Amino acid sequence: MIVAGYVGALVLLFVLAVPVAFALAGTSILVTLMERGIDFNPAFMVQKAVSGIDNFMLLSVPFFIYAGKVMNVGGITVRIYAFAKSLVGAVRGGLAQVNVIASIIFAGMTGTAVSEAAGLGTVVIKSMKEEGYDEEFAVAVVAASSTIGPIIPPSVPLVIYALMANVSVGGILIAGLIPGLLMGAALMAWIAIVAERRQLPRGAPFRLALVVASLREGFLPLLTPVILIGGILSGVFTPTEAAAIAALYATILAMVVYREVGWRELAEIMRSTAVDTGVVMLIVSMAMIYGYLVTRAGLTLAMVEGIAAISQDPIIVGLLIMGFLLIVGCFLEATAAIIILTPVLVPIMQASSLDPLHFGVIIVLIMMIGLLTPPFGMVLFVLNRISGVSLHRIVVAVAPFIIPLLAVALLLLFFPGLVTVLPRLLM
Amino acid sequence: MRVLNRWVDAAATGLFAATLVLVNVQILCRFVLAVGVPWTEEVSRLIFIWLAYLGAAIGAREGTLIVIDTLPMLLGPRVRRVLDPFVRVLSFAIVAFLFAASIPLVRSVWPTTLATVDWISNGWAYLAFTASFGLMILYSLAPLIPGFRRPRSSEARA
Repeated sequence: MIVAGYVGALVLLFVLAVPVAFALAGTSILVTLMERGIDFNPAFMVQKAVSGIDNFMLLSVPFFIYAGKVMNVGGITVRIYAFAKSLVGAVRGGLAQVNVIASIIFAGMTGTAVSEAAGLGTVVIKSMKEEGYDEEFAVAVVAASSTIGPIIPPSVPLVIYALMANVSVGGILIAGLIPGLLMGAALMAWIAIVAERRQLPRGAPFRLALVVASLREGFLPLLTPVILIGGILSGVFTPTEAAAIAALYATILAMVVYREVGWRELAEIMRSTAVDTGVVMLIVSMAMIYGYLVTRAGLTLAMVEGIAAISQDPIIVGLLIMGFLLIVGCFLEATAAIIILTPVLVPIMQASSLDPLHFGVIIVLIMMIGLLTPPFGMVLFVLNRISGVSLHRIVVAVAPFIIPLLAVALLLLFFPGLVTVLPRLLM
Repeated sequence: MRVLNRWVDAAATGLFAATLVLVNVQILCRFVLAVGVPWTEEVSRLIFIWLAYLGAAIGAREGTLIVIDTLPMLLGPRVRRVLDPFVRVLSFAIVAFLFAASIPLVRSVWPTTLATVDWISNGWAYLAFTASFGLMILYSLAPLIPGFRRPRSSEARA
């Protein structure tokens, strides 16, 4: 009865469009009232909510968000795009490949898919349209490539997952590096096939002088991933410290070196970073109350036993979870889903010998695919606003790109070493 | 209301800047000056809690809290008009409940202090929650009070 209350009330509030954070809190209040009656002390809920975000590792979240925003308005995105264009622009469908390369580089600087789509989208879609590409295809390439952002470090969803799953933040950030590069390679291979079939245009011939010139222009921004990933890998900085340095570095580039951001713009970026952080952290803190009560009520245990009854084989359990998350990802915002589901999924993973660090990267990858699927696809909404292409047309154009991304997710499930090798070697 | 919004926005901006400076000062002290500054981590965590809860309050004011609006969108504007007041009242009740729950907690924790700074009360962390949920209550009630106006999202984003 109580277990049904936890799930039923939450789903009902979600469906009624109560904000996710309040739905979590509301369900917790309702079920506690059912359990303990009207005479309970609710102070423990506030205590759980506040202590849930009292974590130094979480400080990296606003820094990652802020760095991405500063880079977008500070002329850094344009420089990275120019560099990628000089590298691979000459091949058939070159601008689409440029987008993937630029996304991989940009992924080393920003922690969210939405900031990657918004930043590169404005530059890439315009450029691709001018060179004769279909608008829908351009938007689809940007959407698919933006999912690389939260897999290659830095990554807001990976940090949130690490907190909820109680795994090493540094470890999971580094673990995302190879999967992120694989996603890039898979998308590039897919684009190459499409480019041949559709006879997409080629760019200007490759010129080493152009590569050198664009590298010189983009050299300082290109150092950001080196600082971030290098700092974490070397163990010199904690992920939060590396994020703070990257945020400060991006500020210096945008304000002092390129002089594209003024004090007023910087203040607005800081304000909007605080809001974006607050919106996510409100869900984290309310999910802490819900997670605590759900665990106490034995719901997690019931789910573990339910899955174990089907199978204990890690591959089958992994496939079941991936299928479940693909459906959830259509309806629930990615970060919110990670926050709510991770505490339930981790015991299931442990019961079937799935490593939470290995499978965490797959969970985030699947949730990033959810950003591309209707009805709740944040990246789709952002690109709809940027490009003016209708949501329906974007959805149809993006759909084929889900195939290479899913193929990478399956590859990672079958070969865990692709995820775990770097943290094992370096951390 | 506009003055209050401006102050809240300025506070959120300032808190982010303070966190960024504090963590970089921590790194500078450790690597360049070779001095351990133990209070920076605890204080930056406290500032982060304020930053997060104030940011959440602004998010509630601007209507940017994450919502799964699939069903209302499918059912059309008529159903949305019926659902919207219900969702607002329910959200208000949840916020008011947690706001009230936080006040005795702030009081009971107030005499204790941070481990590294003995003049900062632990109650400040819980006060961030109270302030945030108090602001959310105010923002929910504001449209009902004559003279108060809910900012349009374009104004809020400007």
